Amino acid sequence: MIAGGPRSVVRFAATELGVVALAIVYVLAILPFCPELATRDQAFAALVNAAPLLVLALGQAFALLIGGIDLSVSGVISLAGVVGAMLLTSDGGVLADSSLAIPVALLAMLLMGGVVGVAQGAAVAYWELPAFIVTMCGMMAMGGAAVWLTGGARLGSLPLPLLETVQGDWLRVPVILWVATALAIVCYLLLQHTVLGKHLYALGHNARAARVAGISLGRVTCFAYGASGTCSALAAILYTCRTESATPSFAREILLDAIGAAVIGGTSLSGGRVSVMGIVFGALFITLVGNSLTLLNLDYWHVLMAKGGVILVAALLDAARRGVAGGRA
Amino acid sequence: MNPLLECRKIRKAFAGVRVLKDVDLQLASGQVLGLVGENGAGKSTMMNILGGVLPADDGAMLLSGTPYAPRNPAQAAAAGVRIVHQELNLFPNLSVAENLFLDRIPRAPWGIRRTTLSNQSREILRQVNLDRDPWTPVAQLSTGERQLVEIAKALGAGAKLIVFDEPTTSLTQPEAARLFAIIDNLRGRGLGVIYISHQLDDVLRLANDVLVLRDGVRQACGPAQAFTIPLLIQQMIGRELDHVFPERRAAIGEEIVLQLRNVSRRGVVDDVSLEVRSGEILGIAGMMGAGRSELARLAFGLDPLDAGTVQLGGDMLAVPTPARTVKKGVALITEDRRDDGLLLNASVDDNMLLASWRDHACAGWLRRRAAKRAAAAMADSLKIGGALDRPVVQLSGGNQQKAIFARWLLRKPRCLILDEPTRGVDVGAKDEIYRLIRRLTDAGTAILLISSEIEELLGLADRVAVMRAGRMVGEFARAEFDRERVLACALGQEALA
Amino acid sequence: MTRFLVNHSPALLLVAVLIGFSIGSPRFLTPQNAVNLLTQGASATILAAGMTWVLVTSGVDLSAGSLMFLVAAACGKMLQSDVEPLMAAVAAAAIGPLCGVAHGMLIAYAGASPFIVTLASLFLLRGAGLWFSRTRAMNLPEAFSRWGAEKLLGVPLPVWVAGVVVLVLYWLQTHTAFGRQCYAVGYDPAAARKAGVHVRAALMKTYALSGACAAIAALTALTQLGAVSPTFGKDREFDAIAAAVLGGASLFGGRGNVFPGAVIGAMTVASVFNGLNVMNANPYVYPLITAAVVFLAMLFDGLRRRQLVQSARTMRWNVEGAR
Repeated sequence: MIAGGPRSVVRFAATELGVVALAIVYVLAILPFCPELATRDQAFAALVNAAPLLVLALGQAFALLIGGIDLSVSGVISLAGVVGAMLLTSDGGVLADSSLAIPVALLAMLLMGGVVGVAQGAAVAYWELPAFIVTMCGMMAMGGAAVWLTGGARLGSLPLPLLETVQGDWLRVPVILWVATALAIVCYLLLQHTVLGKHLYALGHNARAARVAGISLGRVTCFAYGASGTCSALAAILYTCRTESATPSFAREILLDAIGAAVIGGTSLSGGRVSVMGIVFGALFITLVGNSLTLLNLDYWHVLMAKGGVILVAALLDAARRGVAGGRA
Repeated sequence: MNPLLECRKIRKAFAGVRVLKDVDLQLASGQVLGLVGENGAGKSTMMNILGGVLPADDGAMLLSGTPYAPRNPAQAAAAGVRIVHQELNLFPNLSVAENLFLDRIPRAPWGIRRTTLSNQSREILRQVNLDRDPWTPVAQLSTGERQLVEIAKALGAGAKLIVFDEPTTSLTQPEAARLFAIIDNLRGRGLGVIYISHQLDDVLRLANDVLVLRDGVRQACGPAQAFTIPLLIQQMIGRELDHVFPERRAAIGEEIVLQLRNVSRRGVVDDVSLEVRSGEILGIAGMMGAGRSELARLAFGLDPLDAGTVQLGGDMLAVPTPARTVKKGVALITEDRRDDGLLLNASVDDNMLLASWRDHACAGWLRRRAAKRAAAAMADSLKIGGALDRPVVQLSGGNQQKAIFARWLLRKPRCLILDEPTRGVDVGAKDEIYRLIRRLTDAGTAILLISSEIEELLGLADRVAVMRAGRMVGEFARAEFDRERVLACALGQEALA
Repeated sequence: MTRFLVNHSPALLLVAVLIGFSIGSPRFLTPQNAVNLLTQGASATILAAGMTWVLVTSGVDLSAGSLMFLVAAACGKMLQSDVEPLMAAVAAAAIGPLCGVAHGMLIAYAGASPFIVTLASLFLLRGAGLWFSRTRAMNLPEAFSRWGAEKLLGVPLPVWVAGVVVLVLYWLQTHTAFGRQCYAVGYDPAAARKAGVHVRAALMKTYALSGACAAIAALTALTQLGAVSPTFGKDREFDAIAAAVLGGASLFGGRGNVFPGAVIGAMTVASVFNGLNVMNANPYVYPLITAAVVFLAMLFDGLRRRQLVQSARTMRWNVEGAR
């Protein structure tokens, strides 16, 4: 399969199997340096670590599918986390003593992500502004707002029942994995089995043709960014519960992981192509890389450089794929 | 007389359709050749072959006696052949001088030789009678002035032969007069000019010789004095009737499905009213740039209206948008299949179902099997062969067009707007599309048909309205159909008809 | 009148900002603060000039801030190892155009989109900078930082540097074939290629220039700060984009100029932050303000573009009906 010249290599790398092959090659290559990677604990850790990233990457995929991008990921995570924690925290939280606190706070977080996403989508769709700048402003504004609200301090003292639920197991499988799996299934069904999914694809393939076919570009765009924002908020819940506190300055590199997982998983940066299965593997691959870097005791700066490098590779892979597809057309 | 350009037996076919059949063409230095013909007669193909945009399938060209076969526009320009297109290729964010010399700006160690550039630009601009500071941004020039810059660009690059494609379409009367003076001047300086236009009086006034193309064939050629406008029109029309247009089987309905009232959009459509009844075909004739496609886009809601109203089946649409008009049962097939129609990399059935996913769903949840069955049945009835899961880009032009028809047929539209439905489609598929259109009107669909082929309009339509320069300038009922009169009306020569 | 307002909106906005803060705080409109403002604005102006150039070719350089940090870290490292200050500065500055050329290669030859390439660089280069500096702040020797306070003919050295950079870029943009061709590339790359412009070479040079500007901006800022902190240069690319767009550059390419556009834009952004500083505003709101400024600038750019499209359409209107 790989023996057919560079074109077929590129084409193969675009499939789900390609990502799996990439992951296997990577693990085999790195194994001599950190044999721990192959242990049962590590494999399990990779799965659990991949879950929130998968949530983010799925959200990002909606924006990428319609030919856009959502750079506001870290901003939404910070602000949603802070909003949730400010409602819940036992030292001074708004809803600290209410019995409804947990569901209300979780809902508020998701809603916040969704609303912010829809607003960004509206700016992209109706004002025809470039998505990367709009969402970059979103990242700055929300990150800034989160720091402003908290004065830069982490918010802890979250209610135990929430932490126990999210960190716990259900049927001997971590809840966090259930959440990510459920979301992946929902995304798959949405993309493959609903009218909306078909319209998202159409918009990514050819926005002009989609408009002539009577598809409302504004609504579909708003949905895509809304979905992306909601997924980021969901990831914020998972991250907040895992670290038992909300940080107002969530690391921006998470954006690279999300885009990297999506693009390596076969999502096209120019729209119209997405594979939920591919993204699952993509998220696993990115997590494996991250975990192995930690195991190798590399410094933060090396991790940062490696992640930038992964995005660069993903961008080149995407450009090459486009070249192959264009050559065929 | 040593010919500057000589074309022998030029042939060209697209997807099996022959658009140029053994065309001969001769042009001497210092001469203007007028090239006329209906839309689709092969003028633009001829021009594209000359300009290196398209290769000829067969035949030979000689430029100043040496073989000439440009592979791209750059090679054509290097050989001294320049085309002044309808849509100008200037950079409005740069100055006139910079546009003239973009690829060979005179340089010095300290930067651009501005005085040299100024002087050279002035020199060329003088040749086209444009009295403007060379440092004026092109954005500040009128369309006419831009055209002069485009001509100046051709002159500056040492052109021997300049082809003008519909140069007066967007010019005012004085601007056009100035252009004619310049063309005269070019002729006087020994350049060859090919002048393509629908303005027959201009052609007769300017040209030394006139060549009439009809249906890809050199129909007539001779000195301009030998022609009159009626004679030209007579030579232009009369395409071979290679199609049998299916007869209507059901009567035209009573209900007015589509009604436009005083529709305007600045610069393209000016105060147009029309109505189409169920089962009726209203044809719209007109030359390129008359505003026909723009009218279709306005009726469908793709572009915003500046004035006027759109009514569908009696319901007024305050602000028509495609989403709303589609919901009301309107469908549009645009002339630009690639950009406005197809999802090129998506599968054939996804393309067919694009507008009707909602009809194959229950509360947003797709019934994929039912949808696929419907698509398969439709593909069957339209004879779109092959697997439906391959990318639509692999289909032939005719099958791609049928896939777009299928997309709208699946919605059973009440009103169908067709803009050049048979462009780039082979003969067999053309016949099928005609039968399809008839099948639709028999089922009561109202159709607005825009076509550059007068034969097609007269063969299918119940009424033909004629547009010129954004306005409705005439209407013909089926009983008064006459090719010559319709063409004369579209050309602005009603008095002769 | 409207035309005057639109044509001169960048300058008018700057004046409005200056008047606004003068009313808001008595300490804003003082000679001392004016010097401060100019000195602080020096590196911002240099960065904005480079960004304007990139925007003209319808690209973007998101890595500018990180590149500043990498240059600063490299320079700091060399100074700490007792390299001659001038040598250190020149050697560190060379990193800028080198990184720029790498961006240009990936964008022009590999066909990757500018924002994703420079986004990757945004993280990669900061990582590299942290590697050099081991995430520690570095204090610079006095021999280096005293340049920031030096004056020539009564004007601070950083202002001179900014002036020279702007002059050179202005000259390149208006008086060389390369500069003019960049406008064609930004307006329509395919048409530019057809018109005989070497588009790829133009893009390579553009990103190299942007990298060089980031490097010079880093050194200028460094002389004033006297230390390299791990957050040096963070988010500066946003300020630069805001400045460029406020100065009349378009995110859609083909528009903008280094002088006066980028200078006015950069001074506007610098005045806003200087003014907030003088008024003792909460530093936590700064990112919010930056985001708002970028967003408003972009919105303005979008509206202006629509207006242009509209007027282009009106141009096509022919008075031909009577013919």
